[in-house]
Amino acid sequence: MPDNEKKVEFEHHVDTSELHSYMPALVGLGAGAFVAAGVIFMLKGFSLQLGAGLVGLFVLLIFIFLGGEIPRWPKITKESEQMVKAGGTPGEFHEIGDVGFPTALFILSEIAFFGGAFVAYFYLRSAYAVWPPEGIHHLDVAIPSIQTALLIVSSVMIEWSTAAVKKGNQTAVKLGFLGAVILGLGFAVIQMGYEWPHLLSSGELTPQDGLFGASFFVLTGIHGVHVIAGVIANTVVTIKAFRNQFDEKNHGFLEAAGTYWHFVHIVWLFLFAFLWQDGLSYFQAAVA
Amino acid sequence: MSKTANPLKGIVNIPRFGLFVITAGITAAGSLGLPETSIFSLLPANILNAIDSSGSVIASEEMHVLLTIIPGFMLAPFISFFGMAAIFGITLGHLVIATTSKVGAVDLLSPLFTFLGLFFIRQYKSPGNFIGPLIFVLVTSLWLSYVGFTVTGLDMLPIMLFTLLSQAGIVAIGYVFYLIAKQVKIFN
Repeated sequence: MPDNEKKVEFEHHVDTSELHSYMPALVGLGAGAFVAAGVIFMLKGFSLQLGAGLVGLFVLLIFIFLGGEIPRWPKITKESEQMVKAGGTPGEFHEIGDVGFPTALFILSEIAFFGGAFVAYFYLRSAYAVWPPEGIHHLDVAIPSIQTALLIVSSVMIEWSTAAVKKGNQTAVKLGFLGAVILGLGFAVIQMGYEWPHLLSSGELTPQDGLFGASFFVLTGIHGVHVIAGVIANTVVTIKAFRNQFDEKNHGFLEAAGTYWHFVHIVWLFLFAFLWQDGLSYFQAAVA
Repeated sequence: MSKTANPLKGIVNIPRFGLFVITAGITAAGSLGLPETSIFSLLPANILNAIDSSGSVIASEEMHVLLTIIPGFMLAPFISFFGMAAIFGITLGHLVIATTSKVGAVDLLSPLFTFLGLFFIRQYKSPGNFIGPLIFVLVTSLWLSYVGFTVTGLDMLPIMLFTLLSQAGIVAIGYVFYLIAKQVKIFN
């Protein structure tokens, strides 16, 4: 049976009503409550009752989400496996378009997230006439340079894997993603296992060192969390690759995980420029 | 809804995104991570003196910054292989570098000229054609010369010669790598 016919046949068996879940809105509401708590605390000062209420609401909504979603996971997993057998690609939602669309939407939401973080950083920074503020040590660029090299090589390996899977080269897929996982782990270990402890223990830079210290740890921290998420996603891809679950037609998840990793890489370039090399500091005096 | 209904189709091209990021990363990291090297520290003293007999351009700190070599420009000839994704990637990498420029905000415009120059390389991408890289060198050198002249107010001629040498040198090295890559068919 041709692939197209197989896929059409599969689509008839999917309960598409399950794709229209109210859960994303619920989680969005919970996240909104959590952010609102943070904003209110910054503007009005900390309030235990309000904080506990909003965080409690957030936790409640997350539990509702998990309670509603987890029972559906086995069924969704089974359907994904059926889709693979029928020649389709999990994540390639037949209702929306190819895997590029949901991945691109996710990346756009991440751009909005980091965009917001950078805007907040520059807004707060604009209060200073000189950047970094006096008394702050210039950070050594050797460590981020090594980290950048790790990210570049890992991106190349992922690109190699992505090209290889389309030609059916399974060995390259396995080695490429395995390499990316190791390099990603190396990045995280250098940051959280060496640089941060070194800065904190030597007192060179701590979160208490004014806006620069706080910004440094917040921005590198949220990026570090994204790196760890990317390493987890790439590990899952690697495990699936070693089980030969990708081929010329079925590699949507591999491509999505790779795209996410590339995004994590590009955010890092801006962090390197803004935090280690005082990027855009020539505007400092003008806006202060 | 069919695949053709993807509203981001053609805007966000996932398979080329990796290439875009890798070229941006190499371009940015080459300047942010490596020691700054200007053409002044690479050329022999007699050539420096022949171009700038008064020594005013060589002594200028702004010119040192402007003539700092961007190793990522070695990728420029590879546009013939990589296409628009690499053009955007190198341009973004240059933008990241420009945010850290010691010359000032005017350097934020430099990536626009890089983009323009790279676009010419793509336009003249027939095998062995060096017209594209040549136009890239001219476009970026003219812009750098203009910035150098505006910022320092020094003689235009030595500034132009130094920027031309600087840009031509790095692109020529990239062009050699490009020819080797083409010979061994590494990207086929």
